[in-house]
Amino acid sequence: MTEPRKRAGPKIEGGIDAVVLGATPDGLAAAALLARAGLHVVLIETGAGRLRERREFAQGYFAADGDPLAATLDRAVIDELDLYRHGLSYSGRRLETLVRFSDGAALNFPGDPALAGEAAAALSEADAANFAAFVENERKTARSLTDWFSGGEAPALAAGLDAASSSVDGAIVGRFADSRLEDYLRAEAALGASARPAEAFTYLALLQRWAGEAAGLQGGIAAIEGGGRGLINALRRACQAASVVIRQTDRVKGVIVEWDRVAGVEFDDGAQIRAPLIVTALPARDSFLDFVGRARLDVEFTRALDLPTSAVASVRAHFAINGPISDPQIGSRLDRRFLLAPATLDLERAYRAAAEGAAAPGVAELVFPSAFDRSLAPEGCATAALLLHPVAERPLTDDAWRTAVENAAKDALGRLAPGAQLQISGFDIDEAERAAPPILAAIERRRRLTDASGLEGYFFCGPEALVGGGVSLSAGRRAGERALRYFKEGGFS
Amino acid sequence: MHFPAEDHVAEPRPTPLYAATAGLSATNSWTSINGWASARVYTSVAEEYRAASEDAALVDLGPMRRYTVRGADAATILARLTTAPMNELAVAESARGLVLDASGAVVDFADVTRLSGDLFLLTSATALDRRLLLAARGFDVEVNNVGAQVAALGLVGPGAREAAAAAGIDVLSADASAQGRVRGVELAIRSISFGAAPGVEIMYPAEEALVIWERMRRKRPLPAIGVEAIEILRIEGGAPRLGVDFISADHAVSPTQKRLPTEIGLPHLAPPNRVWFNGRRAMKNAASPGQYLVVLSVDSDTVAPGAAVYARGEPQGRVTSSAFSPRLKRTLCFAEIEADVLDRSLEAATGPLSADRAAARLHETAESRQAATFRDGLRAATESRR
Repeated sequence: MTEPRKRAGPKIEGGIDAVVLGATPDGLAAAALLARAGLHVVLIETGAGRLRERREFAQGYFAADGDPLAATLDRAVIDELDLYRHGLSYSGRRLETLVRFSDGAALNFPGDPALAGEAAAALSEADAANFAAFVENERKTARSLTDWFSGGEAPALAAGLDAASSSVDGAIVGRFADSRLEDYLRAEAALGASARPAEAFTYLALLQRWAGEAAGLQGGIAAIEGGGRGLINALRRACQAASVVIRQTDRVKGVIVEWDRVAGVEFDDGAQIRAPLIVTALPARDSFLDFVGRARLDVEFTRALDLPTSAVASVRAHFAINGPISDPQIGSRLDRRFLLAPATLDLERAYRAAAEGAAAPGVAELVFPSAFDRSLAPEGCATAALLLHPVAERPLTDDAWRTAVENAAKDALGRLAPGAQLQISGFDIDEAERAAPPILAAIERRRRLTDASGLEGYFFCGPEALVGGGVSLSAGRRAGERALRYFKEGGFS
Repeated sequence: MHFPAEDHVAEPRPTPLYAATAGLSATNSWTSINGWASARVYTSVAEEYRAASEDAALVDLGPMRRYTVRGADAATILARLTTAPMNELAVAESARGLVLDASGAVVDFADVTRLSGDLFLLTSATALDRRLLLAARGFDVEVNNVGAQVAALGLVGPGAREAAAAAGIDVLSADASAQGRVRGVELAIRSISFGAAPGVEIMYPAEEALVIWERMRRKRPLPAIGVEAIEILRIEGGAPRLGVDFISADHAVSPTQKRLPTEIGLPHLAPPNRVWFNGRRAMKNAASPGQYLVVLSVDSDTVAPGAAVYARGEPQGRVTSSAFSPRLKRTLCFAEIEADVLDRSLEAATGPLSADRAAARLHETAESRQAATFRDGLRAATESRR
């Protein structure tokens, strides 16, 4: 008797409802949401978008990828996926911010914005009431725009128009007797943004920083336990609980498009996973140009992908600090956020320098990750993560640029902690991160990328679908919701 | 193929054939199309029209935009940019199509000819440089605007092919175009339909403009035809004119000004079941048309553009262009009318400011026959699938 002949040829899998590409926080959130709704989901963890494990940059000192702080985590995702049960926790909430000005003065901005007035009083008695009213008003406006920032419909114009069109300068200049309060707000708005505070529509960026807090999320700026990885691990557990199948492969060849619909994913060896629904959390160029191909996309749509993006970037430097920090103002309280707020002209100069290719940043944000996670540094020592902005975007292999960043980082650290005698035993910098586009442009880009490809069953929640800085999960939630609606309406049958 | 609306360039450039056409112009009446000088009338509209509808007439096709697209991906980007059936196009064949934007609205007309394996000629009514560059990004293809480098001589009328053959330029069949040499001049020849009239288009280097022209005229002193007589042929044939009967989607200032292929009566040029082209998905999902561009035959000697079209006593549309057809002895006009009054009895005002109305009815043209056949085919295909 002969054995039944095995069928040769590539493997084709069926019976799958949805494929999610990319194990980024948004991809994981979308996968878990779809699976919880009863869909059979396969998540493909592929090269781009994979977060590395923390790395040892000096002996005994560790640095992690990504932003150690979160301000705008989407509450609907946290609730729906029960992320707190899956291990999401904060090692610090409502972090206060110690702002250092160019003249050496300091302002301690509290984690609870309701106390902003009292904090300002320490700097300038005359401005206390005014500053408190300003912050309160900002939070109110931010709250009304929260849904828009996270991918919802634009608010009625009357409410948002004024806020949307103003520049930061337009909103704050001349408001306070002490111009250092302006410097603080300007620094907050500029951090990570490609538009300088004098440009129109930048006030939105400032509002967006408040939106998470205003919506009553994790309480202002928070440090996630375990950093970016902590969040990913919680999301992974949520995926496992919802029976998402996770596969690791770098061999995705493309998305199968049949007529105007996606029909699955194809791999280099010819294997296929057939599914009527694909959510992609990979960058837009990978998702569309590589996986779908220009020949199947509208000219106008691919043009949006080809538009040059800002050359302004931020760069994060890591310090290994050997021994205690003796600065009286920083002192033993390292579980805070420190912000260097330059004078107006210095910030303006920094933007100009960045555009010309230099690394002479204006704003700096300092966090001590080891204050939240003791395992990142040896006992009695600390790691410091310093975000410098704006700088030119250059590869790490550019030695001159590297040296310039190192000098700028040390200078900024010295200005943030003027009294400290720091023993720096290690230094490292991350790849420069391109600055976020102006928020209106980001919202418009998100709308174009998520709606306009016209491919049925293909849902995008990659990095370009995010608005503003920081991890938020709302792009993943929105993509998941749209995909689910499409699935339920049977658009694929 | 036909010209877009005239523009108002004070001193239009002479086309490569200008030296020849200027010599034939008795009226010295010129206009500008795409910035090129075009004769409005050479001798008289009636004579030119008669020659083109009974025998053959020469037309300077210089004002059309011409591009060569060369490279391994040339067919791919033309299939992406235009609705012409590129996959089926053999060497020496031509196809008509439209250029659509991402919302499925008509941007331009496109005539594509495959000159060789990876070399295509694209003719359009308006400038497509930017669109071509955007569409070509990321592909192995080279796009050149050759408008100023070639002379394009058209022969329109039932006797066009014979007239070309008499001059030693042989067009083999209705669909064939060819590249060849006549007296040392390199030529590309293709058949075209210019409005209602069948025709031949001969393209060759601008420096040789007069050589072929003279050769053509020496065998038979054919008259030349100007824009005004062409306009009659165009409306008889049911070919809408860009910028006159509808606006290019690229020039529309609001989405309501954009027109889908079916709204301008050309659904057969953008079949939704053809392989993917720019705007196809949006076109397929677009709401059903609110208005249609149709050709009406009006019981009146004059109907001027801008005049209202009435149905049930209410204004339901407007005339966009009109002409008196000497052959049909009737006034024909293009009119855009509301979709829901298509089957009603219609009346057209005789002028934009006139209170007089005349009965009007849908007029069947070569183009509308093709559209009807296409719609029937599509309907049959949909029903058989059910």
